[in-house]
Amino acid sequence: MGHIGPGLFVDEVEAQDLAYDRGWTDGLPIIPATEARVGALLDVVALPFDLVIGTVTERRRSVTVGKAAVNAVMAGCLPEHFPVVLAGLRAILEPQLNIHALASSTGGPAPLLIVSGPIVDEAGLNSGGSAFGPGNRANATIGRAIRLVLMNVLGAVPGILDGSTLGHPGKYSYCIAEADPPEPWQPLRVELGYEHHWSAVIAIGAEGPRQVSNAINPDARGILDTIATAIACPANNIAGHPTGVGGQCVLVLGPEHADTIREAGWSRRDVREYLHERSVLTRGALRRAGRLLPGPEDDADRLPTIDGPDSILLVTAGGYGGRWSAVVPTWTSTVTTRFSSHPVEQTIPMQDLHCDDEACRLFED
Amino acid sequence: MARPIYILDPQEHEETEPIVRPAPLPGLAGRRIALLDNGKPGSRHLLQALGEHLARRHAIEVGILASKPSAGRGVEDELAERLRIEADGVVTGIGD
Repeated sequence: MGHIGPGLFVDEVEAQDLAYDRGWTDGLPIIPATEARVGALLDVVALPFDLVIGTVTERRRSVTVGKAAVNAVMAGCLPEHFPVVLAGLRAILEPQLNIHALASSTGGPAPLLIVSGPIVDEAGLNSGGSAFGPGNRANATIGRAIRLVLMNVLGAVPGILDGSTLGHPGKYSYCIAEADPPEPWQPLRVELGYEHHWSAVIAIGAEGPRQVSNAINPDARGILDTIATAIACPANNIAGHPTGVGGQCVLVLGPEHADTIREAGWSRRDVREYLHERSVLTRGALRRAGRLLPGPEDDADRLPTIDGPDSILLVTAGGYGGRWSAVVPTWTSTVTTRFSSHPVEQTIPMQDLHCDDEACRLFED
Repeated sequence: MARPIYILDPQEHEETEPIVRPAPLPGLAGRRIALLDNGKPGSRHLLQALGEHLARRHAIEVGILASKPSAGRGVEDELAERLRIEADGVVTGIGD
């Protein structure tokens, strides 16, 4: 009988050593990818092993459903996690994200996945306390599956095609889930054009999260002013970047900050516009921070760190008991990278698809 | 004694298409050399200095000084075609 994909026989107790010897792991132990385990993941998505889900031209590598499943098993994913892994991979393989640059840059970013929609509960993702982890299998293993695909399929191995000077802990696993906010706010997926009852994965090439503390100020504007300082950080690579257009960021509003801002009557659009307006830096501020830009020290100019209000992805997540939020910036400007997204296809009802005699599409032409 | 199990290989070994590298130039005499600034802050300075050095030392034409929009993006098709037509060789580099 044929095997579902290429592999080898190994003594069961030596499978772990083999994975290390062959450079298959991120440094942590793996679950051996047996055919039964991989087959269970393929069954959930009902897709063939060799189906190509995306290609990175610069690396001359394609990602197939089968290799994604093998790496997801090794990362510790359960079958119900795999639709999220596939949607995440489809998102990171969108050309606008530029995974080739993201995975190789000395800046050491990692693709952050944001999962939004009913799949959050169905797959057992955590959108509450300790949203960035640890402690939840779905978040940890979905994020790790992406990393293993980057290393094993796309060659993003440190010292070879991953040139990170430092990297950050999100390069092991970087997956959060959105807690749908109370009305009148809508979740991020709806803001990006998806139906409320769909699920989607949003991907962004990100530095590590910057925690934002404001435990005392009861005023929405005061909280947002604090957040703006975290976005307009002179140490950010985007600050004074030669492309001059700014980057993007994720703003994860903890529930207590989100409640204060929403109950004060701010819309999500209001928040994004206010932060964009206040996230500019000046040449003078950068020079005082030791960043040497050409030209005189000047506090009248405006150097963007964010390229527009729509480049702030507002996510509500986290636990009560403290007034915290987090800013997660892209590592470079939008000339190089922009966030991307993809629906979790297995969660979309048939009646939402646009079908003709030949095929079904997610969106009308 | 443990039993043998079949485990699947997580790595992709097949390239979507192989790189076809052009033959190296046999020499610089009479060649047109272009400089491609890759978008890093120091790239243009480094290349200009290198271009002047090459022109002096080898008495060659160092013509186009082109720029990519970003170090993180490949050369756009239009620029690549222009370089193909107008230059025999291209020098590029980081200069970070």
